[in-house]
Amino acid sequence: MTVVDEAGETVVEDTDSPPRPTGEPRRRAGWNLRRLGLRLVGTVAALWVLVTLTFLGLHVMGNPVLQMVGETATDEQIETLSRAHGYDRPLLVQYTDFLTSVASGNFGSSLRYGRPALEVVVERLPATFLLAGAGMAGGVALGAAAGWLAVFGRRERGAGIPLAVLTGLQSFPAFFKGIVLMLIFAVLLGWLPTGGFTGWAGLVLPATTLALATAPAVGRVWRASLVGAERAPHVRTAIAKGLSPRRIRHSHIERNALGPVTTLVGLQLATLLGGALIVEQVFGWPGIGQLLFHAIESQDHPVVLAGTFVIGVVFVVVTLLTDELGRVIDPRTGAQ
Amino acid sequence: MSTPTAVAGTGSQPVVPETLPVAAASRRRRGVLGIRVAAAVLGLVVLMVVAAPLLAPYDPNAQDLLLGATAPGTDGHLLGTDQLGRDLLSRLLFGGRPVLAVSVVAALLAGAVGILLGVSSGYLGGLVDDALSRLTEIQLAIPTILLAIVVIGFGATGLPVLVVILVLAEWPLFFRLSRSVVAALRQQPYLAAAVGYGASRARIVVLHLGRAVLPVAVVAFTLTFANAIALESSLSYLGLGVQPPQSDWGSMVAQGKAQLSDAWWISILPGLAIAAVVFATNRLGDRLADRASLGDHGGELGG
Amino acid sequence: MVEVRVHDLVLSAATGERLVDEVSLQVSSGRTLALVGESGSGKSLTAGALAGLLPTGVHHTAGEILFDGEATPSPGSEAYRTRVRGRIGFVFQDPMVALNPVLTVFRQIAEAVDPDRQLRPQQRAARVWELLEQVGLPDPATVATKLPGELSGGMCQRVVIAIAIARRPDLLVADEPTTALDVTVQAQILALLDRLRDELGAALILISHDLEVVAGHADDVLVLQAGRVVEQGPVDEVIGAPRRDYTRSLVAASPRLDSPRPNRHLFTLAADDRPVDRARIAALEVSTHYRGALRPALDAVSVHALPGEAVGLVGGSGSGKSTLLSHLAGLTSPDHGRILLDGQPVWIPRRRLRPRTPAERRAAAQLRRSVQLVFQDSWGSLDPYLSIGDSVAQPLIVAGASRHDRARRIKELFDEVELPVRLATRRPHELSGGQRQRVVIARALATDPEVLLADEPVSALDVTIQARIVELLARLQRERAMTMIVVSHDLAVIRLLTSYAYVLDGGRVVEQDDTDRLVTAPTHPFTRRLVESVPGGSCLAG
Repeated sequence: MTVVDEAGETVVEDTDSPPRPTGEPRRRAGWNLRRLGLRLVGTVAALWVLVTLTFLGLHVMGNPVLQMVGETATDEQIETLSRAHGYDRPLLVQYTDFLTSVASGNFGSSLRYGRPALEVVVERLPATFLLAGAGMAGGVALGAAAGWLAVFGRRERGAGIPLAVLTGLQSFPAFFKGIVLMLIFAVLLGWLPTGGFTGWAGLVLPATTLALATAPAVGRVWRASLVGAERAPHVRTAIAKGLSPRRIRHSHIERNALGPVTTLVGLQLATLLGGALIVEQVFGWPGIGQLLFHAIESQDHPVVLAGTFVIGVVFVVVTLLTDELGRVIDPRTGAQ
Repeated sequence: MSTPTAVAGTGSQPVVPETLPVAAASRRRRGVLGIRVAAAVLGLVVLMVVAAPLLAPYDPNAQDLLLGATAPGTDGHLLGTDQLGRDLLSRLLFGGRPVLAVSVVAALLAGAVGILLGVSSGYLGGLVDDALSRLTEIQLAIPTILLAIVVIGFGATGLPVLVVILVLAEWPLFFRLSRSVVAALRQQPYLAAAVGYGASRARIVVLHLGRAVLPVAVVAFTLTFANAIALESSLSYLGLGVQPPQSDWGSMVAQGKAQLSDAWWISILPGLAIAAVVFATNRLGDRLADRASLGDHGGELGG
Repeated sequence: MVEVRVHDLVLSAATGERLVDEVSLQVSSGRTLALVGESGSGKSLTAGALAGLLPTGVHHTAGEILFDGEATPSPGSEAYRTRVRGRIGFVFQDPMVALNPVLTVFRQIAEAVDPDRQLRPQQRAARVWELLEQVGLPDPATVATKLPGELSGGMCQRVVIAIAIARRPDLLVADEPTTALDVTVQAQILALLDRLRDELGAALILISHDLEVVAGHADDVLVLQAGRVVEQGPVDEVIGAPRRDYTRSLVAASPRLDSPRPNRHLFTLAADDRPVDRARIAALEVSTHYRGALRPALDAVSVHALPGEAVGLVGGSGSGKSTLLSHLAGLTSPDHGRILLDGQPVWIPRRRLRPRTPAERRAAAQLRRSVQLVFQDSWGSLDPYLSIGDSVAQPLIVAGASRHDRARRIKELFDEVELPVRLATRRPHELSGGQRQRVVIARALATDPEVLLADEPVSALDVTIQARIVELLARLQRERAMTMIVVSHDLAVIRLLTSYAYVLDGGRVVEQDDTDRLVTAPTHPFTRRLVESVPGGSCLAG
């Protein structure tokens, strides 16, 4: 049979060429080791910078011993204590010591709780994950629905309203949204508790606040993405194929629009996991954000370092995972 | 920019795909608040806050412990009083000053820094671009609030520190936007042509790139301003902003939280003030953004 | 067997303006009808209507389409699409964007084969493989798993064609199917369409702005202008002996390999007598290799142009011609080799000549200004925020001309490129493609360059405009006695403008000769293929 090759030459292939395949072919996933490797290196570098900055910041804040002993301590006592904790050594020595202990997971003991700092931080993770997960899930659900409606819904029936409302709500800072929700549902109606880690009921209000905070961005990006995908020339090809409108919408518009949204959601989730401090503060939710806040206030260095580190790790891991997921969905993501 | 994406074979019109009958709402929404209304609201608030000494009926810090909290509309207190008997209207007016002042300054500084770095980065490319981009990415990894706390940990609280934090938080937006404008234009032949007839780098950056960045910068400024307000009030809610007795909308909300069941207005009113300003500014920014992308071809710049 | 007839079709815009004005045509199985016209002629809209694809804002207001004598619902309506489902295949203009970038080739063809999911997966797959073979795609098993972005333009177009013929349509409509493709691939795609038409027993409607393509592949032709039919009939009659003026001007404007050359009298330099040391501008043994590319973009290429000579660089995409031009213009530096201007090296490897003293800088700037480049993409060549008058003024401002001088020069330049001076305050987007190209040329002339480099100066323009710009360039070269290097994939344009040409393929010069000899007696197989690809070329080449 005659076939045209890449250079445009017409070539006659012998008729005993490989038999025609049957069934749908499988596409290789395309895990680019080089790319992942580079990513990993960059990740480690970012974490190192993060930890170093925190370390420096803390040391500029002053001798942590002062915080521990209060105002009546004599200079001698301060000096003794400093030497005991190793705070009197040159900065560089303290730093290298610090790096080696970090590498082995030892952040020292919390000055406030007296337990290993890493342990104190890690035990807060479940609460943080729970809140972040619930909040993000809610945000995605609300945002995706509102964005989708704004593009595909009927204008006369007010399909654009949910997204507009969400966007309007964005103007209310998170702490304010939390307080208003608390006012309505906890204080006035008494349906839900005002805060604390009290089972599912306690999760509703803070998670809703987070959902309202993340939904607008999700909705707007989704909407913009859909509108862009809708205008793409390949949609015309799909129409010419005779596909049903629903199929076109699904395989050629929504599928193509997923890329940017996935990246955004990944970023938001990663940030939320870093402790939604404000919301935790408003509702008294025992997450990492709160812990870190109080640790900085009370100059509990080990906890601050451990906390920053853990947040950093979680952040980069989550973004890495969502980026890879995004790449599977939309293979062009790498080029963007 | 509406360069034809289809093939440049015949100079014919770009391929115009059909919109599905089921996809209705792709047109731009005409919002309730147009540019004029948004700008007016914003202007009014700013004016009132600036004129606080003239407009406020009471000293915002004057306490009246016997009076305690009273609801809005009570005798002599249009918006009521807080638990220490201080007039809320006066506190609101004065409380807006640190908020707006800090936000404007921060937005301007963030803009200056961000645009300068962004344009350089986008134009020079290479190592400089890589380094700066990595820097903004690393910054993304640090939640702003925590960044603020760490910076505050350096010592004093107060307005200048807030400005620094806000600039650190907001400059990436200006950087990314101006960088992407420049990066998109960098390949354009007219810049190469300019090099060809001997234009200096400075001239190219200022005359050609600057004009392209300007509309984006204006929009980014309004959005940054809105962000800064929200961030500033969040920080002062946490107690990291202005210190008592100075009033500030964010800290007013925090102070009223304990009174939520008895005197909800202490928290709600300043919150509404924040929301109103942020909303109007965002609206203004959105509308300007719409105008800017339409006005790219035709229409005067500087919109 | 099928017969499709369009009867007085009227398509209007929302404003009521008639975009297609009472167009009637007829085509039947085994025949190819070509719709020819320039931009705005309504040819794409008519084709779109047949396929049931009308853009938003365009409505069907009168006329009808008949399939085998049966009337159909209004084109553009859902009912029309349902009626003609499976009977019409549409081949799009730009294959790279006509395909969904995130779905594999297999998925996209499978969708076309079985849009309602009625077949079993095995049957569907079998048909997909069959189609891949039918359109001549090499190594179907691998191609099927690829994304459109991983394929070349020609291969993408074959996929688009596979999608179009998936349901064995009775009518194939191809809208400028080869315009976005490389010149050597164009011929194959057109041949493929011819073959498929016969294999399917279908009718083919071919839309093109290129009369030469039409001449080679169509049986009948319909000429459209501004939405109206100007002339129609068998192709030999319409193109060979056009009756109407418009058709005549179209035929005349198409650059053919045997049309008269404007500067013929200047082409007196013997091809053998071209000493390099007398060259105005030269590239010697230039090599450039982009990181990550499989082969060098340029491999020891040497080209030069003598004072006052017009030289051509011909090749397909990826041949390195644009890279070479960029080096000659001083915008980029090659990895190896030398670039000389009047014998002075502009660039030497490993010893970048950076001007140190102000005098050196002035000299370097002067050198820069004497070589100017006209770009291909007139959209991006002008700052969209500046008026065209300001754009043309920029080189003068940079050179320090006074305001009065500038005003005078601008008027002179505008006159020289035949642009009315009153357009000077307009922005680029307010002008037509041809006008923009004139502005770009005017700006290039502003510094009074001795060497003018032109990168595909006319490819983005309509055919009648092309002819005028070619005339303009020829005249400028003549009047200013400029040295000119023209890059193009179109041999016909090269032939009109240049006396000597280099043919590039894969980063190497494969042939160089007097342009006339190149065109009439090419020796290298690649050149021969180029000549044959130019419609009308086969009548000249051996």
